Amino acid sequence: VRARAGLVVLVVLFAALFALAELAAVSNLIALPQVYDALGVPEAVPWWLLVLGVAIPPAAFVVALLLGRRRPAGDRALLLLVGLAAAHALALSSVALAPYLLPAA
Amino acid sequence: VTTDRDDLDDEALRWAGDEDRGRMAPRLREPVPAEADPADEEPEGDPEDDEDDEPDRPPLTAGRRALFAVFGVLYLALVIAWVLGVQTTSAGTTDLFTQVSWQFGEFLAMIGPVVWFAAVLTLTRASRARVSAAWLVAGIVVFAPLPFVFGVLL
Repeated sequence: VRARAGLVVLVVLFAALFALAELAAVSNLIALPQVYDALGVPEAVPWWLLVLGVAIPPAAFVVALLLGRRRPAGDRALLLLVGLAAAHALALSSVALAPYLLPAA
Repeated sequence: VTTDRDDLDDEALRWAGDEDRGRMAPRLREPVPAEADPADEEPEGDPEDDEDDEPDRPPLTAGRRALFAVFGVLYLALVIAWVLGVQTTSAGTTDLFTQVSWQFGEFLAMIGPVVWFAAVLTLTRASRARVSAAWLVAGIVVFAPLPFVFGVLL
């Protein structure tokens, strides 16, 4: 029972951290089109990148949980940490990539 | 005279009664016999499941060691690329909450390759080398350091 409770705490903690990453992705999805509008290049909004950004954190969370099934808690924690780090790395990569998708002015 | 002094030092550095309580030797000299293993929690006995059992770990083969050595160098390069790469991105706001979570993300991206490598090393230990190699390649794709490529190289 104790181990079970620890596992729940672990998953809830990581769910919150993944939710934080998701929040950033959603705010990008909402804010970036407005910025592009203001810049006068509304057609250049990289929608696929924004949608991918929103999809990645929950996907990484689910994959980490699935890979961790029937594994000890330490392994699950490691997998969740890997998933969270991967989600953040991909988010930063998309931020770095986005300016290069703008049409050459 | 010197021997006397050594004796005194010895005595000063010892806690009387240590030996009597049998604490000088490890309690379990023999590793737990392998037969005892399937009895614990996992009835299916998936070989990947009993990582916590030190004596059960298969030794690293030469090929596997070479695999992790080569990828270890690549992953180290990834960490350096990320450390340099995150200098070129910013949260683009002065809002404290956004900045803190942004920097947390940057920190995770920097240590990410190390964590991925460690996870592959420990969690695919019982798998075939090809499986480990596939995960290591996947990690390089996931942690492709685009902020470094676009921010520093280009």
